[in-house]
Amino acid sequence: MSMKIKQKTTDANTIVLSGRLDNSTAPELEKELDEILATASKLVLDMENLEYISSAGLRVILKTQKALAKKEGLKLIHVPDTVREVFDITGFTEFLTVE
Amino acid sequence: MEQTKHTEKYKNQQRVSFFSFLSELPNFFAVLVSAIFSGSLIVWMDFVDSLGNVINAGFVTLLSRKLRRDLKYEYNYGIGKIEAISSLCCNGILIFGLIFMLISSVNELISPKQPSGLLIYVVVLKVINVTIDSYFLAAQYKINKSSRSSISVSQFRTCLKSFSFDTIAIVSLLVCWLFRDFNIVWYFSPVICIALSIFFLAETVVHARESVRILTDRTLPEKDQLQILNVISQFYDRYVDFDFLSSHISGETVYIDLRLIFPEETTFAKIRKLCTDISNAMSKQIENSKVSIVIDAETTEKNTETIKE
Repeated sequence: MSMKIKQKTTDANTIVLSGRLDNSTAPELEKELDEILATASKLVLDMENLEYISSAGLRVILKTQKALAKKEGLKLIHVPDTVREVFDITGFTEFLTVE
Repeated sequence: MEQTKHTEKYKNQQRVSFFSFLSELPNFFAVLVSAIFSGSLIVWMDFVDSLGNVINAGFVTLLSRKLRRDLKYEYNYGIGKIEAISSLCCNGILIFGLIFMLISSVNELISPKQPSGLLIYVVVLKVINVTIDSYFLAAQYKINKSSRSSISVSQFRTCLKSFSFDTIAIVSLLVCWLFRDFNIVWYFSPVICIALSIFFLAETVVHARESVRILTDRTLPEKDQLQILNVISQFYDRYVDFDFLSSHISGETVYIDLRLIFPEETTFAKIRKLCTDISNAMSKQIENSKVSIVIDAETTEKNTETIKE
């Protein structure tokens, strides 16, 4: 199963993720985010339809969080319970803004 | 100081292995000739053992010579893999020889032959051989005791195996020669060879598997990958950015490579403390983990301008 990355037409800084964020899809997201981060100072990741996140996906999230730490920041919204559980296990909830 | 100790360790190993190689050569040819003339399976088995010893001693001599240089700057993960390749080559050759011996022994068990009267000369040769074996066993024991390494442990095992094998061979050959006119003794040689072949084969396969395991890098399970991220997240505020370069399992060891980026003004003491804390936290979460951390300074606009100038 693949992952879909969609930029919201109403808000260029919101990225909607759906499917699985794993070893095969994480590089694609990383590339996409790198392009956005070159100009953006804040970012919202809408995870409503994200089914699974692996360590590779977490690495991309952590890198993005670090890149935006000194700017307006990264916000994760509509995080499913399964994904939130992974954030809890890895201690990511300590520094991520999850809504 | 440490470099001198390192060099000395491999210098001793090279010396002992080279003498072992030289002393094994006459035995190798003598056993080959004896095996051809006597046709005894025990002597052929001895030939396989001697072949293994010659190759092994030759390999270790060359390897110790190379290892006298401190290779940790050439090979990130030390010299384990070089040792594993050598061990695999030696064990591979031994396995082929032992399988050949096993098949020949079963064949002779089906149609036994009367032992040759020439066996007594082989017994004399073996007595000389055991004396030499005991010298190398003692020398290798000393090396192993003063500076233990995987090469020295494996060499000690080889010396012990040679000594035990030659002692068993003397007894077996004597029995075969003394009672060669009794039909029942005709089965003695193949039976002993089958038992020894199976024993050595099992032992050699275990060592070969261990080498293969060291040579095969495996990916870390997802559970461990998450634990790595858990450790990194614990120190979130103490670095500016990070890259997870790679992680793999080699043998029993888990290698984790990270790249951490710090503000330019961060002191060495702070960086060192963080690296130690990460390594310790990682060891608690993942057994036998070795963490390598590449340190980089944050590239600021000011830095970039300086570089351009």
